[in-house]
Amino acid sequence: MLERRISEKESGSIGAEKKALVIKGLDKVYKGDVHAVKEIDFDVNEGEVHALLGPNGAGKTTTIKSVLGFIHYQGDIRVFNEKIDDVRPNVAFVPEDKSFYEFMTPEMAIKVCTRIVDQFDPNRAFDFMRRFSLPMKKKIKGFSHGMKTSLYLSLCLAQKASLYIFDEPTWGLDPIRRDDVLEIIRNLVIDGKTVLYTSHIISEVEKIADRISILFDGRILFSGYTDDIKADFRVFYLPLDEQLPNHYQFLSSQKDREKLVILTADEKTIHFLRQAEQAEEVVPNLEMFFQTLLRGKHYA
Amino acid sequence: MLKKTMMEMQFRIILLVLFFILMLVVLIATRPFIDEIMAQMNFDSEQMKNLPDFFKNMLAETTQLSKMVEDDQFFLLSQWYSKNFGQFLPLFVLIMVFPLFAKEVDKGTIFFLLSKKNRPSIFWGKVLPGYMVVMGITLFFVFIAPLVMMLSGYSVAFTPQLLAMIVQQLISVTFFFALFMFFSVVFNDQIKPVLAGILVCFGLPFFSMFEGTKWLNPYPYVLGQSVLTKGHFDGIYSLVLLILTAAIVWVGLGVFKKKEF
Repeated sequence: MLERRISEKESGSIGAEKKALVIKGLDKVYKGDVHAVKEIDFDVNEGEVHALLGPNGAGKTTTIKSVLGFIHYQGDIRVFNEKIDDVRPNVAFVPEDKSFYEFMTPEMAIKVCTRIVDQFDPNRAFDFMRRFSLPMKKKIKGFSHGMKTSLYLSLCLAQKASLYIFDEPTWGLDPIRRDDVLEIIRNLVIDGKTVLYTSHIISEVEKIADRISILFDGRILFSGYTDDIKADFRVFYLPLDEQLPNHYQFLSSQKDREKLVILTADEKTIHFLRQAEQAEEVVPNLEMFFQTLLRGKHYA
Repeated sequence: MLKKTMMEMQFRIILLVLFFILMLVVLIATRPFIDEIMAQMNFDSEQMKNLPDFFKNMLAETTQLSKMVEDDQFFLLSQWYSKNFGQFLPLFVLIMVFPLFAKEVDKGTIFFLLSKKNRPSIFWGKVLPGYMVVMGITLFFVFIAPLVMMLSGYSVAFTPQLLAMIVQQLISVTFFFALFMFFSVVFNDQIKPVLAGILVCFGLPFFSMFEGTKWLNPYPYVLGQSVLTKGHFDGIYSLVLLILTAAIVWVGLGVFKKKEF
């Protein structure tokens, strides 16, 4: 059995947390019979950073678009136990495409947001823009990708929301600015906010995410706490001719050159594999976990 | 959203207002010369009779031309409302309205609005300010032309005939606003609403080619020809256009509420 989800009970948290977001049976088929998301269930606890990971086309953006009501879908999505339209002022969003009105300057953008966006704090927006060293009187049209991302983040973070949704929030940023943004996102949670977050950069997810959900081909392959990955999971490299009993459980298995790579959290399986000759055991970091899981799905 | 819409339309507002001002200045400045040109033209001459029909049509009926020479009020109605300003009205509305929604989708800024507001709020937040801007410019130019002519010493007044033409043009602008706004909602890029709008602007007159479809061409109404020829306001056509406008806006709202982004 390759797929496994860690329940909150298994991972030590008893499901008593309040839910900021609950998705049940989310299914989305685009025109042309493109099945982007296939009946997925997952939730985001209040006060956590939940990262949605997956390769291109896995269904991350479709999931976020469904949560925000940008597209039609099958299934049920509740944000703070309500429909999205009833709690929209409490949700701030940074899209994958950080396009803002190019004829505006950051100063004008703040003025417009003050009028349009509920619970928007212009002073906070000014503070973030200063922190990101944005030129306040320059038109956004002349901004680099990184500056556009910084501007969008500043406007989003200036909204006093309870749930922040970031789709690739560090896209185009230099490493120093990226670390600043990760720190800001982490601080949101310290202030009691909730963050749903997608990224291709696994190392940054490892720094800030409390929980992750890994999407692949429209399905959730794994959902659990990042701390549990190191505690519970093991990767074993075995000779290709190693015979494995059928009843042992793996999250993923793959052939990698001259090795058989097994990802598992099952105690009996771990015990068995530790006895195997020439078996090499590795405690996976998130990057290895992600790669092994996805490559295993590809070649299993 | 009014300020944001104004900012988005700023360039087009300035350009079109300057264009209309120039058009008005040229029209009033050439008024004395038209008198002279007409006075020198002999419509009964052999030369004039030998002109091709299409050229004669371009010159319009000689009786109307003579009337235009003598009557400042008729000059205003026929040259400002029925020609220069009136003929440009649908294109003016198209230029102002086509990017209303299409640009937001094309440029990806629609996600900013969709994440902040519910769809009906976004729809009305864009439609109402857009309509106010378009209507504001139209109102300015339908009223400024007679006022400028009065100040220039011409014998012009706000007669019931003039007011009827103004109301018909305001209703026409409302109708075209709704139609072009609908194109902007339906399409996801900025090219298709323009093409659809141009097709409407230049395609509608072709309905006049057949007796049975003449009524589908709104230009005689837009240009106030019924007011000029019959001397009264076209109530039925106005009502039909207003009902159509309401229907288009209602369908536009429905499409926007259901649309995927």
